[in-house]
Amino acid sequence: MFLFKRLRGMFSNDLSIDLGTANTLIYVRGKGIVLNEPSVVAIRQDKGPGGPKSIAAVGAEAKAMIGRTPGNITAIRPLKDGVIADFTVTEKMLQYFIHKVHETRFLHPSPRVLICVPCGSTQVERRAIKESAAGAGAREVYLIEEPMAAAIGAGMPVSEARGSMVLDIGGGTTEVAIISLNGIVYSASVRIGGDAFDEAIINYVRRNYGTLIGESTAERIKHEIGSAYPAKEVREIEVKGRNLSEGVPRSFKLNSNEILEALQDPLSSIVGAVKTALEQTPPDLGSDIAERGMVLTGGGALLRDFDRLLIEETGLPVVVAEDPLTCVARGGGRALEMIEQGGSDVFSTD
Amino acid sequence: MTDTHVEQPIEPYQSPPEGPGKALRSTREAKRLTPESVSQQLRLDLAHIHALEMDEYEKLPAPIFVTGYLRAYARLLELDAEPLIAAYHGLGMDKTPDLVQVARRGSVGGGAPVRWISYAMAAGLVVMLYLAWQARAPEVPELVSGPAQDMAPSVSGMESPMVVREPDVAFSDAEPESDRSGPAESPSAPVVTKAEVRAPIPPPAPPATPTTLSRASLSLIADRSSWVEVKDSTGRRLFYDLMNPGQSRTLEGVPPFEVLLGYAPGVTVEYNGQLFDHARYIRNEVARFKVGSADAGGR
Repeated sequence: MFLFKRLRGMFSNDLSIDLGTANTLIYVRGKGIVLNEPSVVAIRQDKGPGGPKSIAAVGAEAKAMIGRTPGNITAIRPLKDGVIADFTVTEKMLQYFIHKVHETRFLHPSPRVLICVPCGSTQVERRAIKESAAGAGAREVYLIEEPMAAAIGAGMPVSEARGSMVLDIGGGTTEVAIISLNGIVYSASVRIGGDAFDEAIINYVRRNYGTLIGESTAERIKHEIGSAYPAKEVREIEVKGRNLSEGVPRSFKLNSNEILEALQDPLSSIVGAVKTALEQTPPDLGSDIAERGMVLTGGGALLRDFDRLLIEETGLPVVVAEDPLTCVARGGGRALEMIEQGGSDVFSTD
Repeated sequence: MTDTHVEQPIEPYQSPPEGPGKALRSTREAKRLTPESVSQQLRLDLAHIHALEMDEYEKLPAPIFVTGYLRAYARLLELDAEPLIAAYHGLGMDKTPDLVQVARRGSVGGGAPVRWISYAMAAGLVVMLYLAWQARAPEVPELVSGPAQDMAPSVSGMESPMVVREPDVAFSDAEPESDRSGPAESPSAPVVTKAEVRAPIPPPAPPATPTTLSRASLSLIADRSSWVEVKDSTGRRLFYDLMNPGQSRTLEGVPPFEVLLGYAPGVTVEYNGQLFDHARYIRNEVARFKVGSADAGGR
């Protein structure tokens, strides 16, 4: 059995997977990012409750279904706060993605897989991720902590004996870590991320406009006019939602200042986590960080002027990584390359 | 496809090909900003600002930081950051830092050498077990006599202290020990003799059986691979393995032999050097028969 898996492994690519709450990215060694799809699965259940379930769609196709499904289809996100909320569905999703990147192969793929996990995840959560990857056909599963992968992917000199601070704002979690000599000196994870921003916008609109908007609308608002720091120009967007008192869809306008106000709560939680990390940092590493600054990665780093907010709040230089959405997957890919070079100290197998 | 000449993109800030520093500096001067005020607004060291303006990137940290600083500086000066970053990348000083292993693990286990040593040890163990089984097979009767002889002294050894304790009445002092050791020998002595008397009876018995019977040889030659089992009349298993094409084995034991051939057409059997025809025993390619008994012919 072992030999057979090994044989199949010869026909599979090594993968680095950023299994995120919002998006799943797969990096293939030597090819780069080959898959970037939302972590959403649409499940069809015919013949009433208790009937047989089948996968209707996965990824982008399934995401388009969120909030627009008929009774027999449910579009769900199997990960919540960076960890698995629905084990079976996560396994199916991973299986689908692994197959998708091995499309042309006729043999069942059995790759070595490196998966990024939030640093705040428990042993149980890590095991769940490992098992679901193994269930999806992985030959060997390695785990790496997300901020470490993010720092490597951003191109930070993690191997140096100098402090590097990274803030990775994902869909479900925000991870802050101080890294030196390939190891994490301090790390903290707050379960606030891009999803919390969307939720804050939904709540704000309901409270102030008496109107209900969906998750996808809230995400669109965030992408178009969301910002973390007051800007000179005020931008506007027209959105449609269901008016709660009239019960009919209504169109209305929102501006960037309102969204800035709406995002205050989650933003201050993230800033709080950064400040706590700086307080906990040993002074020598702290001075390295003060000299070079911290690096922002993850989808949240794309929120307009997030770096300005952090500069003002912490008084340190803040740098946004290039292509922040793919940093974690790329970093995982580089760590995976180290396996060939006789193991590494940046990831674990337990 | 019209062959028009490709227009060179106009460098908006006349940045020199060597790097973005000059553009930053001239724009800053045009906006009447001092390096100190820029340093304060970007929260960067003054030395970093100077290094950026003079294109001295070796004084600056990793490329990720340099591009970040350029972007922040460009935003402050209300410039487009992309041409500046492209100019920086054009210098070829943007090598991503290598990911090196900080400390090599020694013999913490799980490493490749440890694994190979354990594989080698397991293989060695298998070979040794096989050799031991091969060497042991014809000498089974001797093993039976071995333990019987060992038993005798151990029994006497066990009994002697018990015999000593029984007559012992005064057990308070350490001094009488020498006295006790004297009489202790006398009761133990007869026990040893008793054991010796008993012991000689069993050992000669087991070796007697094989020596009384004559031994015969059975040769097996495989043309095709076949499972082969051979037992002799004492019930000892002489062969129990898969024979590969071209392999031959000669077995010695006490006849009659009980033979099972998994693929009988592929095996030739010789008994005491004479060909033995087992064709009549073949059923579904499997043959089960006795060689060396009266009915099979040839004693």
